[in-house]
Amino acid sequence: MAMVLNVVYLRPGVLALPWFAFLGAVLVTLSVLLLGRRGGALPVNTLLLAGIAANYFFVSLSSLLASLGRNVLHRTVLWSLEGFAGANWDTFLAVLPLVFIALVALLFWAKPLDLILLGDESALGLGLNVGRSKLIFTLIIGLLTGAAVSVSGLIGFVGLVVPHIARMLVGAKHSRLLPFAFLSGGALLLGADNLARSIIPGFEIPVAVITALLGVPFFIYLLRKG
Amino acid sequence: MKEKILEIQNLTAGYERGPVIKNVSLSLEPGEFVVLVGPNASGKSTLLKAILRLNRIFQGNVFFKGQDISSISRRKLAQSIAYLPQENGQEFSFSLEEVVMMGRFPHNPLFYDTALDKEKTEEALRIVGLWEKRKERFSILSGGEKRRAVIARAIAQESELLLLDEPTLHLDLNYQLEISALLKKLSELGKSILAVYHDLWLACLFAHRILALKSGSLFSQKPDLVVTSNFISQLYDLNLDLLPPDYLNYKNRFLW
Repeated sequence: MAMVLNVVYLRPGVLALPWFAFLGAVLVTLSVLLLGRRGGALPVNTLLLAGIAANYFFVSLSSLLASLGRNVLHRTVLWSLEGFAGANWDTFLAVLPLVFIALVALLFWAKPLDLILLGDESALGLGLNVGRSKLIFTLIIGLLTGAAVSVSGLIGFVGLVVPHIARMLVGAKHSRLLPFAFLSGGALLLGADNLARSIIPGFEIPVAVITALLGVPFFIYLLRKG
Repeated sequence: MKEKILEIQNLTAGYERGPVIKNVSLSLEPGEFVVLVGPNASGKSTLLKAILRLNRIFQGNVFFKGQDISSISRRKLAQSIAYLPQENGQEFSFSLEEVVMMGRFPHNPLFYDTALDKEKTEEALRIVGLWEKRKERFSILSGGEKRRAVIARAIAQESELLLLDEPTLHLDLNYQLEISALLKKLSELGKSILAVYHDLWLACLFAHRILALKSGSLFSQKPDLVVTSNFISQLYDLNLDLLPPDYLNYKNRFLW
């Protein structure tokens, strides 16, 4: 799933308008879903590999478009680095309804998310239509990510690290985990943004650099821990 | 005559590449504990999955209390039939209580838990003797406790029929006996149970009836529970010389 998010992060680098970011996110998500499908099911490992493949493909396309449009290349690169500096109330209000709807939908379907963790067979045995649920969730996540990235630019590692920390603190049950991860993710970003502004006086380090510098060691710790 | 809880008629089922079980017919009475034995790849798991339409059905019918399962929605099916695969699921940080509560999903898929959900979850945890441990994380429980927990989930599911794929897998003798006794107790409480076992001795000790599958077909249906050396050697293509003539007696003597 991280790869899907990754793709979505990279896609709007060229198409600066928030709505294009959202459309791009859904397009990429759908293509990953189609690539990752195996006989009606959506296994996690093929989903990840499909995400990696789609990532490379769309990154290449982004690079191509960026190098073709040399006159805006500087702006494109800056957009992808500037983080919160590009966010304003207009863009925020534009994506607010999308984010709100997606979050309410996710909370409403918290139990199917729990069941999916049990494995496909157990979830099917408990009466969940697993294939359809995974499709719906991936679309909602694409929508959320596209909406968020179109406002904030590329900020990596938050989505990879925060849910893990949240799960350690409040457990895996999604009706509790989701609101907690949402709020702590926002809190972490605010903290990172403060750091980004204050480490070097008069210069704002891209916030994505801070989150990666904080996130990578933690991620390696998680990997080593197994 | 009592209505059969499960009736399978001439079932041929398997996967995209072709059928694994061929023309299998069997039935289960309410409150019956039936054990399914047979060599590896004989189609035991395939049969359990076919009952829940988890794989491809080529021919034949499965009836739950006289109703064709292909006409029952997946959620309704889950209200009537619980299925426990071989593995408990990957490691996750749910508490024991949360795992058992998931059994309530077919009855209440909404985002909140009702008082009835909590009551049934408590009841299930008490039946398997894990009520005191309900707040502990599932991943730190012992193998036997994990098994009891997923069986509790099936109890909370309130289904009349339980399908279990090797419920004693990876468990030591103590837990094997404990889980088998628990299943027997559930059958006495009125649940019907169809479980895959590899241990014939355990099957003889606890089951009401033993069914054997070989190469996808029903090999034998022995209502009297007599498992002879001859039966074993034919079912598993075993060289009789490898098997002591008093194999089962020997095992009994050794243990008791």
